[in-house]
Amino acid sequence: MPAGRRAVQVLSTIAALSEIAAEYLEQRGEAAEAADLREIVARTRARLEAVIAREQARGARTE
Amino acid sequence: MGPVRLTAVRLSALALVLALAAGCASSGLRRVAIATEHAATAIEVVQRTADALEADGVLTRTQRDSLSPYIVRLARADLALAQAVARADQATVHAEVLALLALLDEWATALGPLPERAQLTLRVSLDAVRAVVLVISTGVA
Repeated sequence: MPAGRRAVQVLSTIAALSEIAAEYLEQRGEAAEAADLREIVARTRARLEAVIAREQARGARTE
Repeated sequence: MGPVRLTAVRLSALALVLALAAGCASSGLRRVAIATEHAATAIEVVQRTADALEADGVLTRTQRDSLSPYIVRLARADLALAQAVARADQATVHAEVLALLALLDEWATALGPLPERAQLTLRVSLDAVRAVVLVISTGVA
């Protein structure tokens, strides 16, 4: 194979691998962001449930 | 309410605004999720303010008890908002933001019979919740 064509093949392979790597990193980034979002929402939920529980316990004590 | 406690409430509101400014650096749904957590902090501040007003004798026990249904409704509304954010359900997020703002208006009106000192202090805390909700509304607009 002529050197010029081999160089083109190598470059195309590198480009394809870069694309796969970029896609993989993007998916990993999205997964990490989704996990982060779930964690924020879970924490918010726990804090709000604690606020509600405290008010309800107060009501129960008053009755 | 003593000056130290009142200053603490004001500092909490200021800290919230600063945290919000930091939160605005992130984008999209995550930004809205962070803002719903800030709203939870603001609601905790409202609850602590109510407790402090009772502890200082500004509110009677009955008057403090009268605030409980509003605090519970605020917390439930923010919970519904956080859950809608988790589902990426923009329509519900928008509806819950409007419901929260309506609830804040309703509560501000209902403060009328309370002593003036209590009203002023609670309004500071409620304004912090309103500021956070408005930031959420810009995130979902």
